[in-house]
Amino acid sequence: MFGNLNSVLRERPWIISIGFAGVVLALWQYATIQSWFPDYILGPINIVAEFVAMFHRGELGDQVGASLRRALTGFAIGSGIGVVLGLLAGVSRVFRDLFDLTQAFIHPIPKIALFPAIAVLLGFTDQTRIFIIALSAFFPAYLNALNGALGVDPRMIWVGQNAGAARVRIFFQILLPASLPRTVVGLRISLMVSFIMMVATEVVGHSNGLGAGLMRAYEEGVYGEMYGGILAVAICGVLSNAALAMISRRLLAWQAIGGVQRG
Amino acid sequence: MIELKGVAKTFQRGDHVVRAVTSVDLTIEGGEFVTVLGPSGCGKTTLLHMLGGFETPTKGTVTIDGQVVTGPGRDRGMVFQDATLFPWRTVSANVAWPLEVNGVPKRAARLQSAALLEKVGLEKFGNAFPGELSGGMRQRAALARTLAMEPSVLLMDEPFGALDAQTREIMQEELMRLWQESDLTVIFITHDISEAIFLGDRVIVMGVSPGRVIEDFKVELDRPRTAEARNDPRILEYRSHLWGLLAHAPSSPSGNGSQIT
Repeated sequence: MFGNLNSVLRERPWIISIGFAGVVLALWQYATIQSWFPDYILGPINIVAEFVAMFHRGELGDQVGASLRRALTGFAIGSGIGVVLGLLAGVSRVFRDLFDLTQAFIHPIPKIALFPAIAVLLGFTDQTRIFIIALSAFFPAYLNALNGALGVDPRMIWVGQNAGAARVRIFFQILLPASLPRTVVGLRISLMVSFIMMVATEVVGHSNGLGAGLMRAYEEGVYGEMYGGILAVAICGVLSNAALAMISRRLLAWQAIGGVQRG
Repeated sequence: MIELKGVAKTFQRGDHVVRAVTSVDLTIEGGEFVTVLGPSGCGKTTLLHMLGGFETPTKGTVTIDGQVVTGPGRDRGMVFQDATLFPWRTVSANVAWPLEVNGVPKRAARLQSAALLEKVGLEKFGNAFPGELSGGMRQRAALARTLAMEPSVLLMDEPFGALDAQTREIMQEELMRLWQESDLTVIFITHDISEAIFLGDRVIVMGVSPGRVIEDFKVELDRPRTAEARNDPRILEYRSHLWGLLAHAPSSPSGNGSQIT
């Protein structure tokens, strides 16, 4: 009888994922109903209710708008520069040596530690926050693009030189697509990091946005709004990640066909 | 006419210097089909890369019709062992690429690409991606892409080395046909003795440690050559002669002196 169940699960693996999440949520809800947790921990149903109420009051829309603008602007600037410099460093020894030491020193610093230093210059402003987000998004994009470019068969580039293609064309039409599978991995990490830094930079200084909302709810002791905000951050992260995953699947559709070429 | 004068190439490998090619003098006439035969590590690939302008000789010069080769060019089309097609472009877009580089508008490039694919027998596979093709079909597509540059010289680096025996023979015969219909000069690298004899007007035999030319051998088989030529009794003679040369050549202690990876 389990053979039948096995084959059903193999064809629909999402049953397992959703089933597990459902069990965790149900246990959590049950625990709050039984008052096993202190009062400030809300059950999932209460959190969703809180979230819907915030949404209807209209405060969530503004927060989400402000936060997403920061996160996505920072992500676009940081990862865009990261990909271009990473690919350049991957094909040019000079570029690689140029960035290597600087990169190695700045990379291990938790970027949030630079927040006060940048704030001295620019104040606790949007520019400071976007700068910190961009700086954090830069590294995963840079390192993965670099490794992607290093892994490109040099003869692919030779094919371009053989045809007399200009460097810019070789960069965009050969190097970029050839290192795309690896570059996309970097972009997805960069996006996640951007969301983390979005919240981290918003809780400090007088800001608006989801992070600031969370902090205010904490200070005022309205835990319902705090959890509603956390849920909103999670939903933004999941949806952005899904959008990026969809775009990369389209760009990398060729990869799914017939597997990888020999050599 | 292609001329190599005192061409040598050395690489620095850690502490020691690898002499990949030493002092090669060679003249190849326009329209000739020359095969270069040798064991791995004899510098044949390095020699081809220097002809293509992808590597520069440490000593000596490579000239084509009196012009010194200083870099890659569309006059010398390269075909690599594994096809190096762009896996993100369809077969037809791959073949059209060198045309687009040359400023041919997209539509016209696609039309020319279709004609080239027909020439190599891939007319039905233009919309396929390289990942969907067999090894032999990928080499046909790569050949079509190289021909799109309208080169006068084809530089082929063991292009059929990874194919199964039967496919390899079919590809050899098709290459023969294509070359006989054209005025291309072909320089074809191989480590397969029968392939070197069947295809070449001349077989340049290279030896290892250091990489050098040990014989410049003329193949007297009739032209135009078809599959029939494989039964020519002279082939046996040639084979045993070349076998002898390769067997008595000293073997390389480190091997792979000519690999680029």
